[in-house]
Amino acid sequence: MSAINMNWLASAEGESLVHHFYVNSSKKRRFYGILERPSLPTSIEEVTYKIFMIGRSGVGKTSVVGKLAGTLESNNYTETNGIRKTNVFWPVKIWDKIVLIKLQFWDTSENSIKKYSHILSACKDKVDAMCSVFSFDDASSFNDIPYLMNTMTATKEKPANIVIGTKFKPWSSCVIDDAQIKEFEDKWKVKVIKIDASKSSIRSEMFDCSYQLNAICNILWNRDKEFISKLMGQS
Amino acid sequence: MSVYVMCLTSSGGIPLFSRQKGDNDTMTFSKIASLNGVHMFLKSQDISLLSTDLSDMTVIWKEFEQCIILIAIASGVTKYILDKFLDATFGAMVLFTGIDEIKNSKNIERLKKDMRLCSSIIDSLMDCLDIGDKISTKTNIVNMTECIISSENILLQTCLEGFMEYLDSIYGCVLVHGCVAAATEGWWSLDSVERKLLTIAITSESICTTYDIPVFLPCKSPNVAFRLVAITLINHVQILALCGPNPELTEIERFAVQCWKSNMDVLCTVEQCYPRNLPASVSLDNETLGFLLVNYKVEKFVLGRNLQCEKNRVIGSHRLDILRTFYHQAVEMFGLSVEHKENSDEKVITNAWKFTGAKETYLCSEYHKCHAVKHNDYILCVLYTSVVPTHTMRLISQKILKMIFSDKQIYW
Repeated sequence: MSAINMNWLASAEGESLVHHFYVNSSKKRRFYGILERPSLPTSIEEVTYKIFMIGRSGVGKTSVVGKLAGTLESNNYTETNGIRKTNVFWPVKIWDKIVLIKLQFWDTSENSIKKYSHILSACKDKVDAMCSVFSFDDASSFNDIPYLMNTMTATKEKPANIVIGTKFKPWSSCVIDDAQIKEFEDKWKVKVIKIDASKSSIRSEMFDCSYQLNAICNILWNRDKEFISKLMGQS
Repeated sequence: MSVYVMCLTSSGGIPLFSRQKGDNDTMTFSKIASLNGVHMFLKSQDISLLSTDLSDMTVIWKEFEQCIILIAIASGVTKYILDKFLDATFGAMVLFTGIDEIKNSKNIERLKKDMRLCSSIIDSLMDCLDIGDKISTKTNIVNMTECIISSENILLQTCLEGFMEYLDSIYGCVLVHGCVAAATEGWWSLDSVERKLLTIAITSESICTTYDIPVFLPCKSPNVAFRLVAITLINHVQILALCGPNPELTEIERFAVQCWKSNMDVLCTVEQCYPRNLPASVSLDNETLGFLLVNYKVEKFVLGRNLQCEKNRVIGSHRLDILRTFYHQAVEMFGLSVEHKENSDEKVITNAWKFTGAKETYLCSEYHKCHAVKHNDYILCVLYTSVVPTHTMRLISQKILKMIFSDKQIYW
């Protein structure tokens, strides 16, 4: 059982907070600058995590961040140049406590990393999680994931592993089938977070990505828990 | 109406990219090849082909660094602006790639791929052109920096300077909805193309909290990359800074919070100032739909709309793009054309009496009237409803000018 209540946002308590994240009365999510945060009661604690997005070029790293931040506008593909950092505020209920999680997504591209030396070190510095992204359209991007995860575990912070698969089509077959995903999940002990190719939705956009964001927060929470229990064990 | 821009290598005539905008057919390879062919043939005869006029279109060619040919085709755009557009387009190519890579690239496929990085900038530059095919949400001008005047600009300036001192950089500015509210002296010393490209590099991207993008400056530093760091302080308000390898991005962010936290209310006030772009102390009459204030020496402008008359009007009557058309077609033509020439021709005898361009000009159409008046380095263009009697336009414009320049709070 996960510590984070996955359906909390749809509960009465969750609903009562959701509107703080919207632009006025519209169902569009509000974007916050570094000096701002959602106008929640100050009693709610804020926890910050840094997540570094990795994966083949073109799998949709930037789109994933855009979708999770609620800022995705077009589907025009342009390669990311330099570093883009996006803060996403997400409220979760952990056991009986509401916590405001601030996820900092660091997004760049392979070409920028190759061309400019400071980019990789800036992204890896004090990182809490590596988010490996692959596309359900592209088998080779999936085959890259174990390699990516291996290179990054060498980082001294021991970041958590998040794996996201984009362009997932729930009602038709993908290049990567369920068995492969299952095998991968068992071997690496991570759950693949799927992002649908189609845009659904009569619901507001925030509910559409609540599963994915809750899953990410859960992984980060578990890492913290493990870290603390290790500390306790040492002392 | 439409605009096309094509880029080819001078030596081999290999197309690197082509972009277009408007309701038009795509440019075929054979057309691109023939356009380039004419230029190449004349070059071999020691003739440089600059431009040609078709019945509805203008074509201009320009070669950069003896290695890149840019060709633009557009309708409804003056040659002067089209030329500036090509300069900016080449600047955009240099911005992310560096001049060295463009000049000495051995691998043309890689260069093509590098060029794709700047396509969103080139698209935004095309949006600045006056092709009159849409009522755009925002009217921008290709050869000038877009600004916003607010009563808080002085405070922002002080705060910005403190922040820049920490970064050990002289190039920084505050952007409000993409318009410069305050900028360091160093920022204004950048070429107008560089200023334009740096702001567009950030505003043409989808929104995010912080950017750290390596950029080459087309005029000042085409070989060595700077870091363009942009931080969103509050929604729609960003600080831009050019800096060296240090400090780190997280450090910069931390300092930005320290530096700007106490000025939250100032930032919110400035943000509210958009899209009027003028402090509340300057009141505009009901007949005034909008204005364009230009400093043509520094190459910056403020374009503002009068919100007062917005409520009881049909959407679309606020055609601020008309002011842009008026500025390019009338003001630059009659008011500034002499000065443009003067810059290129240095042998002008300074003592002799010379025509320095028109001081005022106006235009009347069915729904709108425009009036422009020159005041030192400034030109104010005002968009009026057609009910305003032609002879009173100048009185109202003079009044606005006086209000703007007598107000001590106004600083830009």
